[in-house]
Amino acid sequence: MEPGYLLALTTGILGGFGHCIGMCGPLVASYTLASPSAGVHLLINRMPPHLLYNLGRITTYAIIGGIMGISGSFVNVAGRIAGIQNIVAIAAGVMMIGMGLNIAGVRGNLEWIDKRNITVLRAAQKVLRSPSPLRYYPLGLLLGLLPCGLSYTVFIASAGTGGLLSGMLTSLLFGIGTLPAILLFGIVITFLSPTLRGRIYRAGGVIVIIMGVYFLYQGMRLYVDL
Amino acid sequence: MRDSRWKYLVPMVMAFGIMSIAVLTTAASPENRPACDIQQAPCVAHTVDNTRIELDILPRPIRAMTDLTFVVSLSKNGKPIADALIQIDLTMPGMSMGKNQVRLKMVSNGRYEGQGIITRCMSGRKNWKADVVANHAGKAVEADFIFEVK
Repeated sequence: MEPGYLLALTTGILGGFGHCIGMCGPLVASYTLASPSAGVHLLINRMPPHLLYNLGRITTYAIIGGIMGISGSFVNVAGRIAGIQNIVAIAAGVMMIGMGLNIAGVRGNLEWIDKRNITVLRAAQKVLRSPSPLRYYPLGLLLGLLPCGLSYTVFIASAGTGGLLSGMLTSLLFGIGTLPAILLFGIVITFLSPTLRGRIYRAGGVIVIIMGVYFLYQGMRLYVDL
Repeated sequence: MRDSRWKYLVPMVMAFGIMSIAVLTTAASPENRPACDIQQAPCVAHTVDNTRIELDILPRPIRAMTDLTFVVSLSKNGKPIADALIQIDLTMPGMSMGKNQVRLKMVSNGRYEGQGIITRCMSGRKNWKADVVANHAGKAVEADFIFEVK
């Protein structure tokens, strides 16, 4: 394996535990806690959402890496997708707040969302309410667009390869490298979630709401340069 | 059995929440504060063997996600050092941001330049560390510069 590809894979593995769990962990915790209850013995049945979410996320990385590679310029591509990324950060915050309120048991008071035609909120509602486990793939595709310093560093390397396939492969290997950390985190949360739905279920919801507000703030800050 | 499980679960969940918030909102600790303001002027460090390493980043204001030129001026006892191999490792203190390395080429006697990009972190943190490593005549000298981007 070429050193650049090995470096991307290693960056994913190390960064997955050192960066991604802190930054993306709350998102994983949100969709895991908000999904239907299942016992620990059904862990194998709870894997598809995590696998589909990560598959979506890695697909996005590979596509961005390919675009970076073919353009040869990180700054140009990053500048073009910055607006979309900031909107995704805001949408992620809204989703997390919605999921957190749901977990905390105050979902009944959210009818005002249904009465308002706010695109981002309605899109978040659709994702939250869809019964299909396949929803986690587009969720991963979308959240793979979140602004992330670690993935930016890999995209710089992708742009430096100067080719579509090499750029794509660099980012793909990075994404695969992050898989163990995010997957493990999701499994741990899955293990905790049936228990969390008991006495400390609401506390978990409050934590998710706090993290959602934080994502929302960061997204808006990036968007309007607060 | 069930009670003992709760005994561990509650602190675990609380720790997760606190750790997440701490990771995402960590402000610059005293050791991470800029040693000099590179947004205003170049920063200078002296190594134990009296090598002077000056770092400048252009254009100002130094912004994340833009093409930047890193300029290093290397001298010892007032004399420029030519033909050194210089690289800069860009890291964010306390946050894994991957390997972001800039290699510099000599543009004039003792002056080296290279192109690089400082990435943006969603946590909102803007403090970065540039670790300048210069290899010359079989010896390596190194200096760290802490600074903030816009």
